[in-house]
Amino acid sequence: MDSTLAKKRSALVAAYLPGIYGAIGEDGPGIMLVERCDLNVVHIAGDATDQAFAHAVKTETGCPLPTEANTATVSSECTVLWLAPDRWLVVSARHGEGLLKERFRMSLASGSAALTDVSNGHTVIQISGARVRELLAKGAPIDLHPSVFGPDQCAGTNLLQISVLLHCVETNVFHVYVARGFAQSLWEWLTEGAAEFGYRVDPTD
Amino acid sequence: MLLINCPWCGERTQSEFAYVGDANVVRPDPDTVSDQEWINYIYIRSNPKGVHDELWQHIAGCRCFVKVRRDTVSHEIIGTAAPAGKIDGREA
Ligand SMILES: [Zn+2]
Repeated sequence: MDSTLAKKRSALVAAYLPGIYGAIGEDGPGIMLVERCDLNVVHIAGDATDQAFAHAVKTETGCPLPTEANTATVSSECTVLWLAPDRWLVVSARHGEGLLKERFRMSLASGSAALTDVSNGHTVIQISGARVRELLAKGAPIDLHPSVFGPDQCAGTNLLQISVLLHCVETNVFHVYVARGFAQSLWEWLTEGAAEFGYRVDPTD
Repeated sequence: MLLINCPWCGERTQSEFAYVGDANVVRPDPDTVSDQEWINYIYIRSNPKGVHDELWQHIAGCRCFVKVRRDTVSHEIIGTAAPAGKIDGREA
């Protein structure tokens, strides 16, 4: 059924060219970039103290509802990112498009929660490599030291004065969520900033 | 650059916040308000020299409103809280 849905057109289509660029050192590219077109992003709003809501989130995503600010929870099929008090993003593989939202709608039907599929409004850029924190630090006014901002932490902040959500997936792997209208500007800034480390752009799937 | 302690996200730079204004202003009841009281509510601010409670919005982060007690002379931030919360320390 999912195959009948129109495929989202990447906001980066005019600037995205897989390849190897910049000052590649002996250790290879210091930065790897790839657009994560495979992710489905659903915004949820609900009462964090409502046990039925938290239970529904756990059942449908496999993730305990992250109630601590700036943290994420991860299961085999989903990631739930804290955005604000009573606001989260649920990220899942795109093959489940529509399904997650439908399942959620059913399990939350009796409670008060709001679900919005925001996949088409977001561009998700995965940045990895040994120099990833140095690259992000050029534009993000938050403490990116691994002891402060480690795996399963997330933060709404600015990159190049563009509002983004940063998620540290692994020590040297970050996902950057950006509104698609800003995606190309951010992409051009990221590639320019990564040139001194040498970078590789991988094909999207 | 100010460092503002968001009650949810922790200490963040001023550039992540939008200034909202005086935190002491209370919206009058629109059914009983006089024109002058409404003008005061919309436009008139005290602009104190010294300690001031004001609202900022963590616009790039959690988007919550944050009450900030700031000295308008030194820019020292005395404390922050949720909008309905209480800030300890030096008062206006
Ligand atoms: Zn905040």
